[in-house]
Amino acid sequence: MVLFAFFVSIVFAALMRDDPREQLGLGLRLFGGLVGGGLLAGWLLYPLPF
Amino acid sequence: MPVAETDRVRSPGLTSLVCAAAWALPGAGHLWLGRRRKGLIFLVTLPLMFACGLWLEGRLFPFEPSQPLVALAAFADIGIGLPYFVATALGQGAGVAIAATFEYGNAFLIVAGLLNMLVVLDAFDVAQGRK
Repeated sequence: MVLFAFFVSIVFAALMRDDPREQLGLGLRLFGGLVGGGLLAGWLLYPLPF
Repeated sequence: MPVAETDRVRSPGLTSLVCAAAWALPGAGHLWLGRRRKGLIFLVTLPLMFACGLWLEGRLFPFEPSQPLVALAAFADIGIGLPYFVATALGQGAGVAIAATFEYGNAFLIVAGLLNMLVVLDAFDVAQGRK
């Protein structure tokens, strides 16, 4: 999941921003959002019996 | 009279070639248009993501019109361009359905192809002078 988030963040940051500093900022936010969102979704779904 | 750079870049023929190059080799379209840094990022990241998908025992899906979801996955897989054909020629991408990482591998392969399609669209915009 972390590796997947890493690749997706890099590509989206490079696509959506032109300035390197903005790319880094967006990439870090995307990476954090993807990993954090994945952990949160896993935590919320954990009690479900199926 | 010499053709201006912007007119040359915006010509439909050249735009089509740029898009074809961008599809065939991730990042090639941006490199062609002088966006070296972005091109190198795509050139390294997308084939690496595709290779990770193969390493994780993912499957390169065949075009089977009788199974629409498989055909859609095949369409996404082929979005990566040349690496798809190289992997197929080398006998990679058979997929190991019983492997624990099978679905992760599929996700990597499919998303790498879809991301390259977005990169092609971005190269199209650059070639058209919109970015």
